Amino acid sequence: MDNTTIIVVDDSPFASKQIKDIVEENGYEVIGYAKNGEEGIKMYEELHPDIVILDIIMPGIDGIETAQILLKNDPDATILMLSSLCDSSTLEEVRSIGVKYLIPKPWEDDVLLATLELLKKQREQKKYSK
Amino acid sequence: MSTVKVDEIFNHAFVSVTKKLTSVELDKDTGKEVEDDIKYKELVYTKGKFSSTIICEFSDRAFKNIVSAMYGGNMPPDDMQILYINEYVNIVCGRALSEINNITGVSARLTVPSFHHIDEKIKKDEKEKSKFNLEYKTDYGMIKVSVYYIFEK
Repeated sequence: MDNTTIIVVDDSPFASKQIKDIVEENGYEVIGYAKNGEEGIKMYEELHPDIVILDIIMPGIDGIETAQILLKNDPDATILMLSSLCDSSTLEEVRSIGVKYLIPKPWEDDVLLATLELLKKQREQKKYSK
Repeated sequence: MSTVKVDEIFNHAFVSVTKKLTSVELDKDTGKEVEDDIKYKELVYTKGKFSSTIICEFSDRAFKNIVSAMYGGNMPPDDMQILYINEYVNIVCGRALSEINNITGVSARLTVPSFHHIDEKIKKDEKEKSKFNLEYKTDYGMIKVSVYYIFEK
């Protein structure tokens, strides 16, 4: 069975490396890194990953705006957002644009993996129901 | 808004995030005589109902200890070191701001942290009249934090 593919959009090499280490140990494949929203949008078009892990606070267009553009271009895009800013108003904003999950930085690995597993299942169910 | 203990929230964020990311125990009341020279300066703003200018200064030892711990024990290449300290400041200040937003019910956003020359004078918004300082003197080096802020009506 093919691995679930992921791109990471985060200006922090620390976050990108941590994510790669933990997800690749658990059967996912990180196929690209983008260090800002503009790069992330372009990379999504080129690589068509199964899941996008997206930071909110980034130079240039932030993660919220990036998610809006990704979802406008591909309403089936599966996005998991990460941020050091993880209060109820940010969560509300994230949900209002159609992203279900926001994980606080620094994250707990088991929370990240459980959320990815959930997204993977939801994505598969959506695919089979079409 | 005056009941919000902003200094305690930031102190808790620095202590808990530093412990999680680097395993270093920060304590602002050690009474230790650590006289490291401050060498690095990071700046981050919050915008919105909680408006602030946050200046974080690090001694060489503190900078290297934080960055190398986040990198897994060694120092990353020179051009990446700033990105690591940026992320440290982003996570600490994001944690503090999230708590302030949740307690007060306000919404404020964090800017991307930026690295500055130690002698560079930082411009802050004149309306940010409240101020506090945190100072951590540890065996791992010294960190000084200055926060200027106001709760907008």
